[in-house]
Amino acid sequence: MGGEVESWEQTLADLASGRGAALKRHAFLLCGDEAQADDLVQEALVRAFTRPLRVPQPGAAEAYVRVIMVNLFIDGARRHSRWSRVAPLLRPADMTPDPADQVSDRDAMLTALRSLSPRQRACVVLRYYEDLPVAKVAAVLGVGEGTVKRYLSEAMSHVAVWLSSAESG
Amino acid sequence: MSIDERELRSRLAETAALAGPPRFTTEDLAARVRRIRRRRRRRAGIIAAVSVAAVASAVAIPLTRGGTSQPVIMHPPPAAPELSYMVTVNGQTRAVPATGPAALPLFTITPGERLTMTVEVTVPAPRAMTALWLGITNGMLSSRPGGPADMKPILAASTRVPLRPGTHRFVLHWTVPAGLRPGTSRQLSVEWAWSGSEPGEAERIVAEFAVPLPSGASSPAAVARRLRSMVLHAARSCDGARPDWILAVRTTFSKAMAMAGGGDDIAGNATDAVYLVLMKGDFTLYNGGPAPSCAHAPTGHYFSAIIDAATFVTLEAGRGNRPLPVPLQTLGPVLNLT
Repeated sequence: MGGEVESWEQTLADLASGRGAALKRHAFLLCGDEAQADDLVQEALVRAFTRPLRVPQPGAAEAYVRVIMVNLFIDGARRHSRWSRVAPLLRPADMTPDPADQVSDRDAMLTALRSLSPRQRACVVLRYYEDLPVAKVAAVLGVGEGTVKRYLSEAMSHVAVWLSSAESG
Repeated sequence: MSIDERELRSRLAETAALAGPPRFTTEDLAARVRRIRRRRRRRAGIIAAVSVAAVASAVAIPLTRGGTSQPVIMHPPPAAPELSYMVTVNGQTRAVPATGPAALPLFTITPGERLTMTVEVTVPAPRAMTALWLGITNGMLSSRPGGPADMKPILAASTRVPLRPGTHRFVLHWTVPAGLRPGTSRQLSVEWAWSGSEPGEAERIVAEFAVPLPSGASSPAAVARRLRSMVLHAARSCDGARPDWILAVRTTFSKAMAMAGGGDDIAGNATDAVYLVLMKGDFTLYNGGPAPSCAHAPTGHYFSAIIDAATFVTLEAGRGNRPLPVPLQTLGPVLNLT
């Protein structure tokens, strides 16, 4: 068997078993849902390893998979937004939740994250959870550093309002 | 209310901890990857690549003419229409035929340079192409529904009106990334799709771009180290971890092709300086795939590679069961890389 084959299988096994939980936590912050987080991690791992000439080196593999996760999340959110714009029209008015009602102490942050746009959420997770510098966040998302700073500033204000609402409610 | 960065970090960490353990297994993931890789190999018409190993895996050429060598070029399925190309980059024109062991045209580039390219694509009768994309790739060709996955940037797309049989001209502009390092390469690639009773799509590389190495990198010792490293990597990828010997000679592309390849199809690079490297060992070409699906992969005792002397891009590679018809010494001083 060729060395490349052994190499990708070993790297994938190391990553899935050793870093699967960390990758899922990252995905969970992005999408805010357990099942979606599992799907996101799996999809990112599969995409990373189905390209024979781009099998990442073990050291870089995790970072590579995280970048794929962010891009998949944003792409998926973009597709989903078409449905989301229509969905509220189909929902009875009395089912529209009051943000303060659905927030509990335990998941206040999660709800605050869900209220952000996908790009804002990705910026927050990359900057404040992954601790990436702004320049690196900009590179991952393919936007300018100024745009990242704007997203972060808007996100911080938004999160503060949601958390305040949760604490006062 | 406001929230500071430290508090946000802390809350994010707490929230992330709410995620349960992963509900997937390594075995399932590996099986999915294997399935997709197999499917891609079946679907891809021509796999091309840039490293010696990848070239050897995908586009092997006869090592000895008229002997027992076994060309293993992966042609598209019979229904796939082959396109031919005429590529002009900054005034230099190279032809890329539809079939056969075409050596890729190689153009040297400078980081930051703005390239103007003209690509004439000839669509054979009677089929029309429903879509065609031209763009820059970095060693990998693959696609997803609706277009190429690995072209960055896509320089031209023809998707609205089918391309009828005949020649179609595309003028492309590409600014070479300023951060491209010496010795790295990019490719001009094409993906095309067709409809009909057997619809499909295929991809191939039509030209190679490379940033030359600085002159200091071409000292004999540096050259020997680099060539040895490249071919040993190729050998490992072809199960030939320990070649019996490795020899190399500096010559021109046309002479190297005449000795180790088809010889007639040199894409205009005839006088370019190259290294012809020859190894003896036991080699198996897996076409980049896992062994189980390649149980009958072709093998050979000799492995050759033609490597551009300025950029160290692999132009051709192949394997066979007989040595070269003429000793390497006839081309010039031989470097022993064993």
